Amino acid sequence: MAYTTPVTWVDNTVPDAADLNEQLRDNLNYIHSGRQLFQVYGAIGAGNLTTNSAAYVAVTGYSATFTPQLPSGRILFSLCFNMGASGGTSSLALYLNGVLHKELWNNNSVNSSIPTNRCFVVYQFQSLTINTPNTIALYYLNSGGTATLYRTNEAMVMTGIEF
Amino acid sequence: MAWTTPQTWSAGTLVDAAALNTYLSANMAELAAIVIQQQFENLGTSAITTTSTTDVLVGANFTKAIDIKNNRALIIGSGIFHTAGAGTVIVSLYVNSVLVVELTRSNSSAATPTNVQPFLYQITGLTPGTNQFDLYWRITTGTATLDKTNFPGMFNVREN
Repeated sequence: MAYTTPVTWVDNTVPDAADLNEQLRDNLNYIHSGRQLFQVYGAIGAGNLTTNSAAYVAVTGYSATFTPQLPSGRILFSLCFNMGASGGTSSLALYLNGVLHKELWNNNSVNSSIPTNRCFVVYQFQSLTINTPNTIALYYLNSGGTATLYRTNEAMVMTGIEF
Repeated sequence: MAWTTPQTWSAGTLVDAAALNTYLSANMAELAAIVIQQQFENLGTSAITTTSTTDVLVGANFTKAIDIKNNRALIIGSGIFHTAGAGTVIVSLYVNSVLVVELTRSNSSAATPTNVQPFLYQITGLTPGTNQFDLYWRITTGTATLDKTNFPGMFNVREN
């Protein structure tokens, strides 16, 4: 299913079946139920994710590639996670197309799966390049110890929808 | 107002007023009103508790019938689910009486904002029409509480 930029109609244009299918059927279908959508779901008990890297490295599995088509180039991104630190400070960041886009979280709290380390993020990406694959990914580090993303008593979920 | 699956046009088809009203006017109006959101919350004055070790509805206001126009919905929310010192509270989403996903767990007895459990889940593959969304919970042993005092909890199901 694809979205096509609506044409500007002019007098004496005779819309044929192909025009109506593209401009009406396909565009309506895309807006109704075809907008780009992704979810990375790490279930409760899926196992924790850790790193000792002091430079940002990718969080295994938490990457999504999609091709936005609506002119807005917007994605509403949501993330639910629990991150702790054992020594040093743990940091979590959003990367867009391989480039650091936004740092989300710094935490030097004790390393344990406790609710005080749980967080919920909502972020709006704007002006993404449309009709081109875009990749959103999570990266993390710890400045001098171990960063842990817990999935012991909580699901770690990353979602996005084009709007 | 209702959504009608856009038809496939073919050469020689007469595009009359009825067709434009169905496939253009009504569908555009439907898209403009598509975001349906229902809120689950404890409308009472006290916290809600359970000692059930099998899934039960969190409360009377935690079951919603929603008319979904396409096939996707997002559940999003947070609350303080805590124990009385033992056991693990388990919170789950049911759709049409079927367990869809475990949203969160808590083994903490803290009834404070430091014990807020956020959750998030994108549901796909729904059948357009009325779908029943329910928040269920259980505890492995002891008493589970959904706090009301420090943070009432906010949960939404939103079509997207």
